[in-house]
Amino acid sequence: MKLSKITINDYRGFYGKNVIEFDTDKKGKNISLVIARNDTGKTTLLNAIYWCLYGDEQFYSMKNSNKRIMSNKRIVETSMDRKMKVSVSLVFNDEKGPKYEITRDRIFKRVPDDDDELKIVQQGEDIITGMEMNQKGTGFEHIEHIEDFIARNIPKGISTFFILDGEQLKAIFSSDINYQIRDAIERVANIGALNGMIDNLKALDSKYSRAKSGMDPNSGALQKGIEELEERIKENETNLEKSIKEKLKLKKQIQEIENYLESHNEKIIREYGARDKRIREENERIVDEKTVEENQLNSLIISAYILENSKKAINTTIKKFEEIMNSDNFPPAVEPAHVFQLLKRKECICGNKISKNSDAEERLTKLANTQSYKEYFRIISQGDAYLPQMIKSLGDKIGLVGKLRKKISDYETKLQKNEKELHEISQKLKDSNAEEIREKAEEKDSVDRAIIRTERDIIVFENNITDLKATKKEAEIKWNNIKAKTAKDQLIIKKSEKCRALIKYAEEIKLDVMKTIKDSIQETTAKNFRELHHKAKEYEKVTIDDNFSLSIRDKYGGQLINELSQGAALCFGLAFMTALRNYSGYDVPIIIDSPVGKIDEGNRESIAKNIPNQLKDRQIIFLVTSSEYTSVFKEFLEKQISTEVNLTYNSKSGGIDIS
Amino acid sequence: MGAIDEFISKINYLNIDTNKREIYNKLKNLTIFKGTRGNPDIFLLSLVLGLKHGKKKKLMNSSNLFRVSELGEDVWIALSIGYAELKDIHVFENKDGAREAFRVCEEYANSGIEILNDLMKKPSEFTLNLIEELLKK
Repeated sequence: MKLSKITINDYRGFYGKNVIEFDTDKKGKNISLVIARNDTGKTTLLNAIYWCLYGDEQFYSMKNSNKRIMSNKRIVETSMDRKMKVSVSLVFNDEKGPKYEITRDRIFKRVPDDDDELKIVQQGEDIITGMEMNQKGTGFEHIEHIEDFIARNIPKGISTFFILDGEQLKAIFSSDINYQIRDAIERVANIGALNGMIDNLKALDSKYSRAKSGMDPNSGALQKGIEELEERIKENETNLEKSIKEKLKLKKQIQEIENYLESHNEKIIREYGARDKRIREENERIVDEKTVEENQLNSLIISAYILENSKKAINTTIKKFEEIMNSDNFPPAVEPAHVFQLLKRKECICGNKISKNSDAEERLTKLANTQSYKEYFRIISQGDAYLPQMIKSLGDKIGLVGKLRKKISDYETKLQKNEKELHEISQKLKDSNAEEIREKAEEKDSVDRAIIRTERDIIVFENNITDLKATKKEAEIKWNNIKAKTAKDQLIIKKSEKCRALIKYAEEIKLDVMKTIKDSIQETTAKNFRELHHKAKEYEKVTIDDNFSLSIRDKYGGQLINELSQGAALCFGLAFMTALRNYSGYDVPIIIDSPVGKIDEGNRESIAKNIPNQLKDRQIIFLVTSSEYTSVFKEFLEKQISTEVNLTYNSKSGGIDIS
Repeated sequence: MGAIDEFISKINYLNIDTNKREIYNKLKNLTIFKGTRGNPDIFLLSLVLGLKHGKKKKLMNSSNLFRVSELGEDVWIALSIGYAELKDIHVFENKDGAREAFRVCEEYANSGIEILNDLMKKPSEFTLNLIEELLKK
């Protein structure tokens, strides 16, 4: 990839559009020269290339670093609040012609400012575009992700070794050079891919470590639980099977009994039994009724007997009562108390005087002793009315005794008849194997109950099995999850181990590759340095240490890297850069500003003589001042110069003329 | 309440000899007395048996058997037997007279319970005899 064209618009001193073209087609001529006086755009051109690729500037001295990137002349010409654009475009050719074009634009706007009349403000981000010639060579196509394209093909990290300022070359041996050398070697060796792989492997290993779930502490108990559940399910299934067999056996038994009962006319037996039961129930009722009647009879007999045997006394009383009631003095006409007063006065109720111990006195005394004549009257009256009725009721009672006896006798007759019938039924049942049938019926009841028990057992066992299976399934899911996790963990551990082995292996390879290349570059650098520097024989040894620091040692082993002259430093830098360049897979031009500005003629001769050979077939662009381009330098390079460009300041236009 | 009830309410109990109480208790449980009032009917039956056999026995150590009121209208029987024995209308006139009549009854029953106890050794025969005796008349 060779730089064929640079187009610069309003970039610092390059006012307007400026185009520099390099001839890349001349065979054997791989050097382009840009010649200019000091402060005539040589370093600006180097910076323009760098800015186009990476978006910043690398090579300005402190006095220029704060200056605007925008051409001051352009700013002055731009009205206030108007926009303006600075842009640099690079065209790279391959053997067929233009291949890539990279353009960076930055937009500014002029704004008023009391302190700075040329105040401009950047508008948005840089616009960087890339175009690539298609495969057929018929037209350019847009390169997507141009920054990535640049990072892959012209990485900024090693730009130090491709785009460089010879006068500042010594600065590359600063403190971070080790990193740059290491980075450069890694890039040259394409170790980046290996590093990427190692990083990816480490990230993967880290992911594996995080992914490990760890063994479940309850897994043992769970497994044991599942085994126990299996045993219990088996146990229940065995019991269920037994119960089902038992049920079938019992059903068969029941069928046999039913067949027997059917064949032994069970219906008749049952009818007899029902009849027997009905008669016995009737007997019980008759006995109860008979008992009631008997009690009534006994009561009646006793009552009648009492009455019969007291009849004489009652009649005597009745007779007396009639006598009293039929007498003249009944009911008594006077109160017993009044009679008592009459007795005291020895007077009769009729008013006559009565004599002592006379019948009249005796009657009056009795009358006086009667507590209450009204009560007496009432008792006598009640007894007179009731006692004959009592006597009369005796006949009724005796009549009722006869009736009750007849009734009781009827009950007894009925009971006897029933007993006879019961005896007959019993005889018939006996003749019909009733006892055996009863036993069979009882056996049937017993078997029926056994079937119900067995069916209940079957339900219990079935439910147990269902429940246990559900529990087992749940446990198995858990267990399978644990197993899966365990298997996954084991797989992860295995992968992690492989990953680590790969990391180790990759790092070993990387170290080997790095060492091989480093040794190679070290050897080439030493060779190149001896060729470039005319006093190189004074330096005993050129090395790149294991920590990637460059060193040049004298014959006594002393470190000379920081004591090199400008010329020696340039030669050493170029030696290392060319060595690196030769191992590099990057096909980019080498652009060196002031390659021999501060070195003596001897070195200049060596550089001019050897650099083209050391960088054979590589495009080299030297940005030189007229004073650098001495006759010696010119003599050795002239044959290999393909393009010579002169930059001159145009005081009229305020820009730079390119010729 | 009838006049006789008011009258006899003034007399509390009919008595037996204490040593006869056991006989009463035993007889009460016999089938023949299941449909009766118990003690009042056994007392009246004993009374008429003593009367029939003309046997009285004074109470040596009396104790209450039942309330007179429990006799109900059968009290006329007791009073009539007392009157027939005493020939004294006071039996129906006052408490003392009635009490005297009941004393007579108690003495007949005291003798009659022993007769009844003997008869009850063959209860069915006793019942039949009673029936036979009643039906003859």
